[in-house]
Amino acid sequence: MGRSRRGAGFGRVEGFTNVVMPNVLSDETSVSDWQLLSLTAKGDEDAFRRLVERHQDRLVGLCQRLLGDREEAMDAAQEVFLKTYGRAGSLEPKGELFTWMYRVATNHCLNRIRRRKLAQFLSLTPDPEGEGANLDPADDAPDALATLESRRRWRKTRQEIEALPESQRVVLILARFEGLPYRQIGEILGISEGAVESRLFRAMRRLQGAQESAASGVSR
Amino acid sequence: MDRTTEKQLLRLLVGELSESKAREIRQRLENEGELRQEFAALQERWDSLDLPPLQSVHPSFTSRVVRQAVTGPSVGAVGLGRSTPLWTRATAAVALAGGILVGALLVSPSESEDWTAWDAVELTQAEVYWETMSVSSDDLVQEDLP
Repeated sequence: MGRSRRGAGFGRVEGFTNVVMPNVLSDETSVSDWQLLSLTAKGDEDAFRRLVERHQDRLVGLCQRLLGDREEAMDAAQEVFLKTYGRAGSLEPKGELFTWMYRVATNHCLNRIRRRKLAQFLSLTPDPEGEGANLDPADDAPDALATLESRRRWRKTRQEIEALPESQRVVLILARFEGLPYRQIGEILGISEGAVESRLFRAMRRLQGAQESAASGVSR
Repeated sequence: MDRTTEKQLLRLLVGELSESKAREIRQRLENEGELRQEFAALQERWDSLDLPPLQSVHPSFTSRVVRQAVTGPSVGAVGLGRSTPLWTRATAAVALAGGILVGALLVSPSESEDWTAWDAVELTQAEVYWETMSVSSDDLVQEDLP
C-alpha cells in the first residue's frame, strides 16, 4: 500500500531540440518528451506512438482514479492524447510535457464529472459513482476472501474521496495515489504550493471527521 | 495541537520536509507522546486510503489513439463543434427551429382529431362503466333487502 513518492518517472526537461536526427528514436531513454513532440509536429507518426506508449498507463490510471471508471478513463485519456497531437506544433517547450498532459487530463475529467452530475440531476437517475465504480480487482487476487476485503476497502475509499469537495479530492488523488510533490501538483492545477498544502490538509481533516463519525455510528 | 504542527506532520508523511526539518520533527516525535499518537493516526488514515491497482493499457489502445490522431475524427463523429463557423451553426439552428415549427403545424390537426376521437371513446366507455356500476349497485341493494 505504499506510495510511489518521488522518482515517479517524470522525464527531465531537456529543452526543445529542432534538430532531427535520423536515429533519434533508437535510444528510447535519451529522447525527451519534447523531442518526441517536435518530431510528431513534423509528421513522425512513430514518435507520437512512442509518446503515447510512454505515458498511456499513467494517464489512463489518473483518469481512472478521478472518474472511477476504466472505460471512461480510456476515452478521456484518448482525448488528452489527441489534444496533445493537435497542439504538437504550437506548444511551448516549458516545464515538463507530462505536467501539461496531466493538467489537461485533470480538467477534462473534472468536466466529465460535472457533465455526468448535471445529466444525472436532469434525468433524476441515481449517481453511479461509488456503486458503479469499476472495482474489479486484478486477476492475480490470492483468494475470494482477500478479494472481498480489497473490494470493501476500495469502495470505502472511493466513497470517502467522492464525499470531498472537488478541489480537495483532486489534490488528494494527485498526492496520495499519483505520488506527486506539492510543487508538481501546484503546476498541474495552476495553484501555489501553499494552496496545495491547505487543500490536502483540509481533505485529511475531513476524512478524519468522516471516519470518526462512521466509527461512532458503528459503536452505537 | 496547533495547525502549523499538524501541517508539518502531514509534510513529514508525504515527504515534503527538508532533511533538517524532518530530523527535528522526528526528534519531537520521540519525546512527545501526544504528537506521536497524532502522527500514527494520520499515517493510518493515509494508508487506509486504497484503490484498485492499475492495469496496463492494452496495446490496441495505442494503435487506436495513433490512428485516430493521424486520420482525424471519423466520419460519424463529425458535428458542429467549436471549429465550425458561427454562421453555419446559426443557419443550422434556424433551420432546426423552422423544421420544428413546420412539423408542429402539420401534426397539430391530426393530433387534435385524435384527441376528439379519444374523448368520444372515453365518454362512451365512461357511460358504459357508469351504467354497469349502477345496475350492479341496484342489484346489491336489492339482494340485501329482506
